[in-house]
Amino acid sequence: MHEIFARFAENRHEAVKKWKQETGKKVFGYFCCLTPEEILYAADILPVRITGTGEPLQKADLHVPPNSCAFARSCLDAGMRGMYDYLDGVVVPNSCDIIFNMEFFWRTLVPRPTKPAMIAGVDIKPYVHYINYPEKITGREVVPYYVEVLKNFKQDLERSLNRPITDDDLARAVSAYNQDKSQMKRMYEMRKSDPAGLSGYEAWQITYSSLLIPKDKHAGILKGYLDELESNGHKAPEGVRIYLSGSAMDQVNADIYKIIEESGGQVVSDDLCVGTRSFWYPLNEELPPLEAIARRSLGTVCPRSTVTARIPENRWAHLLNTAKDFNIEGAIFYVLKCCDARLGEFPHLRDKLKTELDIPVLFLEGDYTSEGVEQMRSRVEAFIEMIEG
Amino acid sequence: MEEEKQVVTKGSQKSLEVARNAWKFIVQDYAEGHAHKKAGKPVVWSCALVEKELYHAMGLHPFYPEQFAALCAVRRKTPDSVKEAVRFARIAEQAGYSSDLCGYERVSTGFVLNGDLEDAPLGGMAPPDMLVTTSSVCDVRLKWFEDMAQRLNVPLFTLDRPERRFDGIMQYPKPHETRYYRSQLEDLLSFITEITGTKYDPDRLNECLDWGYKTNELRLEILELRKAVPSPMGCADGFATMYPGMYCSGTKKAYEFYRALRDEVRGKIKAGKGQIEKEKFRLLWYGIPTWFNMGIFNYFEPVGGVFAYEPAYNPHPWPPRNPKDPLEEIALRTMTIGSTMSTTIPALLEQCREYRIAGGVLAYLITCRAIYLPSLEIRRALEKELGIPSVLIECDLVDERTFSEGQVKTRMDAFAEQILKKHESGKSLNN
Amino acid sequence: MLYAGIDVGAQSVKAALFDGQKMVGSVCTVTEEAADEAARAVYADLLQGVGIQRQDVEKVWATGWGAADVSFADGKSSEQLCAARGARWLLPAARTVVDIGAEGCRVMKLTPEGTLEDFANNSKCASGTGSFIELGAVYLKVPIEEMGPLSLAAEGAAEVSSTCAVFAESVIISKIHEGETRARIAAGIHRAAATRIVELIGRMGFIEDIILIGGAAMNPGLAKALEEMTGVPLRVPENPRVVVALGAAIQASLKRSRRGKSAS
Repeated sequence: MHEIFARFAENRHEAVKKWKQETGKKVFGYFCCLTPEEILYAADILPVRITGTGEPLQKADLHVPPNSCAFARSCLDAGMRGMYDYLDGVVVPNSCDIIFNMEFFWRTLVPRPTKPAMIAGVDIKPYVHYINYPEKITGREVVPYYVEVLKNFKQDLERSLNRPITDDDLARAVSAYNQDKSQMKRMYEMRKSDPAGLSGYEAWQITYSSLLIPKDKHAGILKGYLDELESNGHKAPEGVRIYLSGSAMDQVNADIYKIIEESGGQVVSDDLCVGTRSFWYPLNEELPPLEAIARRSLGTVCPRSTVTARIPENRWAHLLNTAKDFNIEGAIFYVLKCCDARLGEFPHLRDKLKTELDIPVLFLEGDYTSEGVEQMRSRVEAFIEMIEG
Repeated sequence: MEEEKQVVTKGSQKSLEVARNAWKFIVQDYAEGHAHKKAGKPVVWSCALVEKELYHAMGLHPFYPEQFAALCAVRRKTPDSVKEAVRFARIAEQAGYSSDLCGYERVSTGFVLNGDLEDAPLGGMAPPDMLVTTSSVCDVRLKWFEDMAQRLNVPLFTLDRPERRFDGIMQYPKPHETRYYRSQLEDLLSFITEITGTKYDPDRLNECLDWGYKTNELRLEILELRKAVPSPMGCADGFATMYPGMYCSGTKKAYEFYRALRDEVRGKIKAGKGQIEKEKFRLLWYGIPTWFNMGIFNYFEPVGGVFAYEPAYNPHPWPPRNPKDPLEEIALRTMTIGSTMSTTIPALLEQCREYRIAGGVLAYLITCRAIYLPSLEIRRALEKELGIPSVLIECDLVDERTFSEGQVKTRMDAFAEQILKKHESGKSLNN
Repeated sequence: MLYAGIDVGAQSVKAALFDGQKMVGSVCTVTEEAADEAARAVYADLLQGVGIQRQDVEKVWATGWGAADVSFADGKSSEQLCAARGARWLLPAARTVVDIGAEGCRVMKLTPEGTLEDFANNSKCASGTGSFIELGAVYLKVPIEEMGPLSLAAEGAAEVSSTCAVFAESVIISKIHEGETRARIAAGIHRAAATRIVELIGRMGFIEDIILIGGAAMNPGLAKALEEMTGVPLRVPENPRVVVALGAAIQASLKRSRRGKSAS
């Protein structure tokens, strides 16, 4: 594994703080892969995906009730404990019911390094930015609506940072993101072979680090690394080919990849926020850049979103797109407890995987702790053994 | 508290006649819905916070899975069987729907999976010609209705209401937000026309909106009247009478219902009569009630406690009628609300002052995250800003399997003691 | 050829010997020793009981919670697979296997050909497992092996509505205060546990024949409650506790090789 990817994946806070120190630039934290982080990049900010700690909560449990997403609560806890004190701003989209409340919780509970700039009761240099992301990601009026939302967001940023964000800046961001996407796609292509060109865990590390390193830099390193792997004929350990569906796979629950490998399986593709959903959707460079960014952001098939189709099947379509051609033998759904969107869609997707691709599905309910992940080992072993026959 | 009865799940005793008879309105509405379907007319399954006047204007009869689930929470097939809500939730859970999911979703999904839509209370919900949901209130209804559409193979329309956040004063929506929501309403009307053939008639919509508007005004008046001391209308009455306003807005019958209710409340105030003889303290119920156990609202009466106010299902002031452009009016009406703790909490504090609340019972709904998420912040704010104690009641909306009577009783008894102590020490309870 | 299977559970170790046709010996021992020591001891007992030596056994296969610790095993398999193999061998019409142990309950669904198709565990809590009934025994002050017979002696059952083990004590005590007999409370506890188990079986489709194995399968009160609730007869093999160990032995005889990392 490339040293840089490993460093960021294993010790993200230190790695990002060091980058900030070395470059003198700003860092913003954001939630969710549908966030238009390209706009932050265009403003010369490093956007980093906020994740949690997996440790018992120290502060957030006094504010957020327990029967809710443990990941979100842990992220908030990390913020309240000061682990994100190097952030110059935070962006919260209207993704799910829990995340969008992070706008309130983060704003009122996490100490901010910069002072508010109050004018007539309004903070003109907010620390937490909210993006009113639609819930239906297709439709005749959704793009004009969302472009307007992003324009407002961009203006808030410009005023906060006291610098313009020009179309050229945005176009540069679009180009850099596309370069990283093409290397990421290339990496996934390499996993179509049997055995796969790199292991699930390696792919995760590369994907996770892409959410912590400036995209142009990440693209450059990744290209070199993939060239090296290809010329060495590198192959991942063989295993039953597994499709992993889940949410934010981070340093807490990514051990599931290792457990799968140790049980005789290998993750070759996925439906994850720190996985295909973080890079799969292209930015159309023929469009005005803000619109291209809006469309990319809307194109991100988050489980909580719906579409204008009479009988929506966009989630099945995404699963199919990321699973076909990979010769999947089994699917593992790793869903965090109380994740309504994923729990609600699961039965239908499970049935479709069985009827359309004829693959068995294992459902694992996670609690966002490493101990919880370890407890899944016996079931993963049983599942893979069941497939082997 | 030695004489206190066990908290056994049971129905509530209502203090108002109209509230006691409200169930007849519901039964009648279901019967009309079934007759509508039998006559070959279209039926829609929908949910709260969709503008019902549109349905009535387009000749649809709506059923509401969430309300149906609440109905299932109180009904049994036979005196010995479990509640219908439990029967249906089990069917859904066996098909793979997690028991952490919203109770409404599990119950209505189980009802659909059961295969026989008539094997249910009140003849069930008539088979739908379409499903319409909204992004307002929670995300769950998006996936839930998607799933039902896939299972029933019936077309679905989702109204996308952008989730606004306010910081400080409640403001009118920005033009692009209203424009977007209005486009949703237009698309909904096209969708209904495509399926049913009925064309949109603005005059008909205006007629329904007139009724809806008048009904809303009545409900706002009733809400104001409830501030009186002693409390003329309690939460049991409130929850029993929310159906017409929530689900039949736009009809004459809903208006007449609230007119009768308003008159009865006025009468009570004139006669100086409250819910109970000796009212000692007034309580807030935050959140959706434990539909399977409405008797909880009478729990404190033996010691002089009444539930005086509940924020769930309440009307809010609408922008004035705009007959020239009713769609714009509806868009504006819906876009002036949002979900944010920034306004929920200060609003609740204000309401506690107005209704002279001495304590809060917060429904700690383990499967309804949208409502339950602010609970701890609310409890903190009530204590810090108003010195009001509150108690958390862990429960599901409709699934009584997770309800622990013993635990709830213990908490409520301790809570009542806390309030009565304040009362005896002479501290003002009525703020 | 002889194959041995060793099932290292949380509270007991079971071992079985399979000769390609039938089970020729089995041992079941409650033990608190560490997995490897316990497995060795039980295996030695098995060999002695049948009257053979180590070298007479072709392969030793481990399963269960402590399987990875059995140093002398030639390989290991999951409990789900072993339960399926064992139950199917004993009862060739088996399609659903319900394994109720002290610490958990799992249900295996088999294809018509008898291979493992799907499985479900109760992952959330203790209710619906032997532990729930054990708790009941503690609070009723009744020896665990008498819980089943006690419940069978009851006329009807007390309403034990909460299936949450955390509230078990308070529920049972309140029933006693209400004047319920111990027999009826025991019956109520069995029904509550059975409710959870039935929900799990339901997830796998209630496909007959449904086989009950594991320690708690020996509880006649539980078997009766399950039959009443499912409305379907349940088959219980002769020695339900060793079925998984037998399955491990059968698995060994099939000489499975595993891709990726394996124990051998």
